[in-house]
Amino acid sequence: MPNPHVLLQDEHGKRVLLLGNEAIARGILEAGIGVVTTYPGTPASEIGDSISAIASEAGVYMEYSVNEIVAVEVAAGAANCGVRGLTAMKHVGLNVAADALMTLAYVGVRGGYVVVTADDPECYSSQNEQDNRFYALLSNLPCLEPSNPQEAKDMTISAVEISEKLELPVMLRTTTRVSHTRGPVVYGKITKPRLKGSFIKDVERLVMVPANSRPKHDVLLRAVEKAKEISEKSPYNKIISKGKNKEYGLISSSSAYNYAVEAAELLGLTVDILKLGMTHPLPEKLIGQFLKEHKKVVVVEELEPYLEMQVKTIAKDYAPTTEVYGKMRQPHFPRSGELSTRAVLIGLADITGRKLPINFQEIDARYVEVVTGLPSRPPVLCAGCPHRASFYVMRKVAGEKAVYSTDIGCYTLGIEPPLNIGDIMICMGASIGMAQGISKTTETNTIAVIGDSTFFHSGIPRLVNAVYNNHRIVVAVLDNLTTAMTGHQPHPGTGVTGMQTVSERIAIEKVAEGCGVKWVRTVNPFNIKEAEETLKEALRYPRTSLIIFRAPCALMVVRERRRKGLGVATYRINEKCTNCMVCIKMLGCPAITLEKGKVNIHENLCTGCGLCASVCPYKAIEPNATD
Amino acid sequence: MKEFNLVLAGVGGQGVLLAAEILGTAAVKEGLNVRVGEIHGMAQRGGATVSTVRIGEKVFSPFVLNGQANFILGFEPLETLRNIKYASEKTLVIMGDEKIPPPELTLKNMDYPQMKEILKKIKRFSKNITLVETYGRRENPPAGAHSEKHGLPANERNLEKDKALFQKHYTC
Repeated sequence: MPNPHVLLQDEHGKRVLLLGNEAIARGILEAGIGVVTTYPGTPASEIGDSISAIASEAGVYMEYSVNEIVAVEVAAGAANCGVRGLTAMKHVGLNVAADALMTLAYVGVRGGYVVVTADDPECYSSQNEQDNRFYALLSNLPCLEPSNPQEAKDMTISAVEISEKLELPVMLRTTTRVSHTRGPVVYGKITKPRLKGSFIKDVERLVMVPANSRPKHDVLLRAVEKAKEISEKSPYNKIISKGKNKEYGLISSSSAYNYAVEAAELLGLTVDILKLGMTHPLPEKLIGQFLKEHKKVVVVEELEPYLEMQVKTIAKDYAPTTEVYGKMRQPHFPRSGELSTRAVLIGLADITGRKLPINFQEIDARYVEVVTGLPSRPPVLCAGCPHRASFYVMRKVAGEKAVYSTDIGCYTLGIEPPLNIGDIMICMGASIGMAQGISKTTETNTIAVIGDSTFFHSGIPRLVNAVYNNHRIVVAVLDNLTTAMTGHQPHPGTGVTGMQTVSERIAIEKVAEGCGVKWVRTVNPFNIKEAEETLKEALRYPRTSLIIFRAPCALMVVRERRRKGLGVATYRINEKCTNCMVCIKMLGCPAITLEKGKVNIHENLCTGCGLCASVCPYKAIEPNATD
Repeated sequence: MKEFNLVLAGVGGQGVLLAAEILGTAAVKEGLNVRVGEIHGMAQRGGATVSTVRIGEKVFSPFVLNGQANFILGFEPLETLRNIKYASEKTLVIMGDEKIPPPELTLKNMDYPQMKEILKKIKRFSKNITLVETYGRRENPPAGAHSEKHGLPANERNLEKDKALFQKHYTC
């Protein structure tokens, strides 16, 4: 990853290539934000990671909180003492944080406070593609939506300023395409963060008992009216490229704006585009005027018709004869999946009756001919991943009939053949929750598969529920000592903090015992025999049992060995191999391949975990001689 | 120059993201507007990886449309083919020859497709293809080797400087 120290350079006017998320991190430094909290999640992770790497130098307090709602509470507590704060999370993280955020909207903040939600259209790394702009409508909080890294930085600063002006949290909503696109960013001045605040007691303002909440709801609604005035005058809501053609006008925001500009250009449509950067509350008058000036207005947006619904409502009052096109009445653009220049081109060509400049059909047909039958390459568990050993043990002991209720993390990849572990999965922590209902209503062995970071995030209340209500489930905590999928962030089991300082590790064993689990064991999954016996015993236990399968993430092991100048002790196939394929059929390790029909270990990919050697019935796999 | 579109394709871990970032940084240093598109997270674990680099005044999004790539840099033959829809007959395709068999092939006991077949299919989109020996030469990735000759607006001097910079600033 890039050296985050580039973000610390106090060179006003310097132009740097930054990822959208790194640009937000730079915005944090320029805005003088003192408290940054997060729970890692793609596509938001690099915001917290960039700050964590430079926090002590920058004078910022940064933490990887145990989950998103705690992250919001910590930063909101600080913001209520007048310190500027920011919390970053992926879109589904906001579901976890929503309980805090909805009422924080009533309480408000004193120091500017920004909640970054990074949505994931196309579910590149997520379980759903919910459109979090609706959280802005639901909570009444202002929302800014950048379309590129420069705006991501600038809007982070503006969000803090708007938040302080209105004394309300402000949402900054990105998508994968904004968070993970690199583009030039011009630096402004870094502001030294203020970390010390003061708590001013004010029960009517801060304690949301019903008698205080009722008037605060009206306070919030008045603040929305003020926010509307800000939105009307916001430099982020503006008409771009005054076209001569007043027949059509486009309204767009976020990444969709980029596609709209490029698609209009490709179609030779010189039209006005109303670009919306502040998308809650919407600038009603500006949109109303735009609707009046154009006969046909096309709303180009990704996912749900969030803008279109509101634009149509505004049209009813301001310009009832203007036609509004989008995805509601007639679907000119897709409502699911990631939007693209291509999708917008096709939609716009369809609406305006123009000819497509690219013959997509011809290229697609030729493409289908050359890629039909091409083997797919989905992401798989890495060579040497300890989860592969854990799953091998589960398959061998509990087999096909057991139900594997799985969770969010690298181990979700266990669903791929030949491991096939993972029968149901919805959200963080739900492995343990759903396992209870499955076990209660079937006679089947039920194993809840959950990672270490996910266990701390939201596994604990589910575990308490299982124990107290006597659910017969096996909880398998796959502890690889890191939050691996999102880039190896620390968690309470690792002994490291977001400030890169040492803290006392919280042992999952102790947590489980404290939750009342009477049967807790820890095994090394590469110790196959012991792991198998332990799982057998757990399956016989009549109540909730918990096994920690503990071995460090293979990527960390390899990195650590390289750092120490140690090579990786790889394995090889010897002459005893009968080509029985047990290693391939049972493990599906990417380092084991077939070369002209013969089993072969790819030396560049092997990390030397030795799992294949343990499962080989002919002792035909052995370590390479080390130097 | 109106617009320059590059597509980089390979397998997670081959350095596709890093190469795209180096090219993007070189473009910024030349004072150009650029967008680099990439996907992180789930897609990294040995999965198919594709990055785009788009350079030009009127570039807003990182998406390259079908047939609109000036240059495809393929780090792996199958992945080059998987992204061949971005090529037209004018596209220069530079492809490394290191074959990384997808796990599906191994599980089904199937052979990696013949290079001859892959090249034949690629040529249905562009005949302008250069094969680079990368197998066993991880320290010399194809990035930069042919870039200036083919009009990539970043000169070798900056690429060299970037290499030094990235060795200093990056761990990968």
